[in-house]
Amino acid sequence: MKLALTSLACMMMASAAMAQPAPNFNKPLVSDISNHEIEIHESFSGTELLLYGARNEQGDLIVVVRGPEADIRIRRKERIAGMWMHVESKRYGPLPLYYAVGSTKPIETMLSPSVLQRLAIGQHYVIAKNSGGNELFNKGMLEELQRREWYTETSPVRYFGETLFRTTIPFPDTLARGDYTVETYLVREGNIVSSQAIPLRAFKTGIDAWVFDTAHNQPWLYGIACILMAVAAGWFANRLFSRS
Amino acid sequence: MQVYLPIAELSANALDLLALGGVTGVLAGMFGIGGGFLVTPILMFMGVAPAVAVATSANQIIAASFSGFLSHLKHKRVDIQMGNHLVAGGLLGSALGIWVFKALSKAGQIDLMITILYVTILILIGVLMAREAWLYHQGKKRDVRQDEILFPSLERLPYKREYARSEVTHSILLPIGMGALTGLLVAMMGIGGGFIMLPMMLYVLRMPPTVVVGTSLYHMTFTTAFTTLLHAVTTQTVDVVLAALLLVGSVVGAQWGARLAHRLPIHYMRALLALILFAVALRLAYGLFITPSEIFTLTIIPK
Repeated sequence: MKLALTSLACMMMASAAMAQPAPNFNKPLVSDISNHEIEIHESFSGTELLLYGARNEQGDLIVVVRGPEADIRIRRKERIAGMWMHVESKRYGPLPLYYAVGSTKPIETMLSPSVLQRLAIGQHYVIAKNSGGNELFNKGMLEELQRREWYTETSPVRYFGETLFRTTIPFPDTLARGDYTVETYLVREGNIVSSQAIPLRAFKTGIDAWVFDTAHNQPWLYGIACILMAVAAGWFANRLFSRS
Repeated sequence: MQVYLPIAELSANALDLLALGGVTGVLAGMFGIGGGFLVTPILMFMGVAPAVAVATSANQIIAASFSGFLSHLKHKRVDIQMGNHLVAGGLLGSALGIWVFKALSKAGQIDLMITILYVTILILIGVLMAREAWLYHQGKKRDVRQDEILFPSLERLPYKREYARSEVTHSILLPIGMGALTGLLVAMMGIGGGFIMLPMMLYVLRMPPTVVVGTSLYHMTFTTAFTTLLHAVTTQTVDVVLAALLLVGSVVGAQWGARLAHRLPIHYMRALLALILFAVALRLAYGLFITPSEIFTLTIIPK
């Protein structure tokens, strides 16, 4: 990784020194991640990716990672006649199933709440954007997502020298499959000066992924296979034990 | 050895699951009742979602019931005609059970309903087992005589048939109704339902004891298979890896249990089983009343 950072830095310096007309080298913000794919294999126990980059202008940095989206229903339990049961539920519009945010300074000191809400930067802004404004459910939703480590913070974004920066992004073992985006924002005086989005894909491999897909995509076939498996086992047991 | 269960979405020790299947198989072999009512709660204690525990348990039961059915068929101890009418009812009951299951899932009440059903049924079976052990201890035999007509109104139902193998005449509505009631329990609880089917066959249908078990297993094979298919298609909660591990344990355990039954003081063992059932029921009930660690639960809605 150090090698990558050094070479990146070398590239920057070279571009500055030679002042070539290639505009790409003068981008205010450049970043990349250590891997563009996460393989969720059978013994996957979570992973970390490194995000690194360089800024060529003044400003503070925000890193946002968004996972694939889905609607989520949240239910609240209450004690009724001594028993705990679900009493109330609410459906949230598409929410990312993974969300990580990190920055060089607290994000509230960098951008106004309206901008944070509009761009869904910050964990509670993502949820608030998709809710009807029920604070109790918003709080419960965020707590539950954080408990599952689906909503989290990256390590603090750190500078190396004046231009280079890096952070690590943690991914839990229960990571959702699908397309992710890693966004980097350069912010100066309450405005976003530059931003970059890098795609990231998480995919499952192994027999369990195949079983899961078959169960959901070919339910009739899967059901019949389950029955045949059990019938065959029963028949085999009968043969085996009726002889002895 | 850790295995990942793809539908339950958690890792478990394969040996634990084989042992769990084995214990329920031994119980089935010893007492002639399935032990399915212990698999589901124990899976739930392990962290498997109640819906997955129920559907997978139904899948698992197919193997032991089919295996048992084949042995009884070989000795001609199955009333196929009666069995067919029970199966017809069983399929209806199972379909109804799946519909109720789905509706309760949608309302977010399925976990609660499964737990309440289990607490009720476990206490019921526990009381029956304890009573049988106590009666034996007192030196009494079963106090119901088979030639007694328990429910005279049931004898007046229309559409009478003669069931040659069992040498009884009944309205076909009777086995269809009994099959449906059991099918409902199979779909909602993932149990075979033998504990309720066997006494009904003996005392309501007055079938000869020799064909009762084989015919019940015939009914159970079809209803559990049909329930497995319906759960696979509508709720997608059948975990084939989990079912495979459990059923290997249970078919082996059943053979062992049948042999043990001849060597152990089986009537007193029933009292022990009753205690286990009460303990599991209490543990389930406790979970309903303690303050949960999470007040909120999330469900991802697939696109």
